[in-house]
Amino acid sequence: MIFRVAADDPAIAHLGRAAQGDPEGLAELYDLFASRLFSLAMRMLRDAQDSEEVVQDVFAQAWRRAAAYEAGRGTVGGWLLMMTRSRALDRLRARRAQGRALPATERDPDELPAPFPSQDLVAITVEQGEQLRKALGELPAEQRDALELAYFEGLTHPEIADRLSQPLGTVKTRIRLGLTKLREVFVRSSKQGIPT
Amino acid sequence: MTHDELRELAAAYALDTVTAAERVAFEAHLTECVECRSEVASFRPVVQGLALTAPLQAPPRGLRGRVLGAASERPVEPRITRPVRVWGWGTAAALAALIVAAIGLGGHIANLRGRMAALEAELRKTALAAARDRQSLEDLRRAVDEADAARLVLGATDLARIDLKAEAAAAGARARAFWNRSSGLVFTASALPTVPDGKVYQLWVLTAGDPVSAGLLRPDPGGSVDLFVKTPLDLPAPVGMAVTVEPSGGVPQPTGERILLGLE
Repeated sequence: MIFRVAADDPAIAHLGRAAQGDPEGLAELYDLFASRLFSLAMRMLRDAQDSEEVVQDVFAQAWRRAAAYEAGRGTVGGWLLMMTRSRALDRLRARRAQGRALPATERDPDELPAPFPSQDLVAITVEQGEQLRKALGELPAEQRDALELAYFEGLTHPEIADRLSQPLGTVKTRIRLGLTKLREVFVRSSKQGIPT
Repeated sequence: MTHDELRELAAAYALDTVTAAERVAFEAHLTECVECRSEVASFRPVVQGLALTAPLQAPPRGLRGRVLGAASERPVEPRITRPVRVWGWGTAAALAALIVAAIGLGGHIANLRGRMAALEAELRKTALAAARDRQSLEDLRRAVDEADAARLVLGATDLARIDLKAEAAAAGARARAFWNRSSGLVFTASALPTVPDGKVYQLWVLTAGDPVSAGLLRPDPGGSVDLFVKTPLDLPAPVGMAVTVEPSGGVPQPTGERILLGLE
């Protein structure tokens, strides 16, 4: 379970042990989350070496900062995924700045993604994640492409328009329609009360 | 942009795919539009869930050992539990220097630690440890704790900076804040006008929802003040900061005149 109600989050106990300097706590966190974090990094970076470094960085930070995490506020899995995405985006931007992927972007390279308020992390189950994955696959390809470029590559919509050679207004519409559709699926699956 | 045009941006904003200019416009709009705040909030869990749509891949075999090996070589950072508190003048000077240069704090902490050790030694030596000395020791301990906490904020890689501009009532005042979700908020201001009798300056974190109080400011006679605040991890992403003049003791939501305002 990646996201659960924080009070029930078993990972909090592991993080608590890590905060006391107990490496076993970190080992438990690794076993729970490493494949999710690595999968996200791989999806974004498409490079095993870079993804491995990102995951290593995230666990190093989780270890150093375990004590600063406050139980009862969001989930540990959400926190780790957020750090993973943020670090992977840093690398993508650095690559772009070096001309390895795309020409210079409008976005300030120092600009960081907006942090997610952690209260948003409480109610998402892996099953809902799976439903989102399915729904994403069923979106019209042009909406899916725009959403994936935004989320997994951290592009702004002018950059996406540029990448897809589409007018800006079209890209904005695709993002809005695509995310609205995913929200419908998400709301429906929440109402069905998928067991956590 | 009109409300309808801005509302169209809610999905893109939740997905963090807006341009910097759009973000400024949209966040300003969010502070006053309940409908758009709710629209953004409704997209957030979906965006968060996108992290789980990546195809599952097993991490390389050796990674677990490397992660645990690296951890065993590095110490865990201390927990910061201190609640909202205005800095004393001694640490304020150190903090101001830190914000200007972000260097030299290591030396300052070492110096404080040195003085603390000396005082502890002195206390051990004499059976007549005066209450005053105990107080000094406590002050120093607190200074070390807070300097460490501020160093965590300012040393964080994902540090947000908000520059605040003075409104007419506080012409000439300057203020700046640094914020990091996991470490907290450092706020520094100078040349604040003298606070009116029976009033107090209150600092606010502006979010997409209601403003959140970050505490009361107690400027020194020169109008300078520094504040370190540990912020809750689920604080909605700050879109700005403001300082208002409020009745003595502070208020849950801003009511008085605004003297400083900064948007991220």
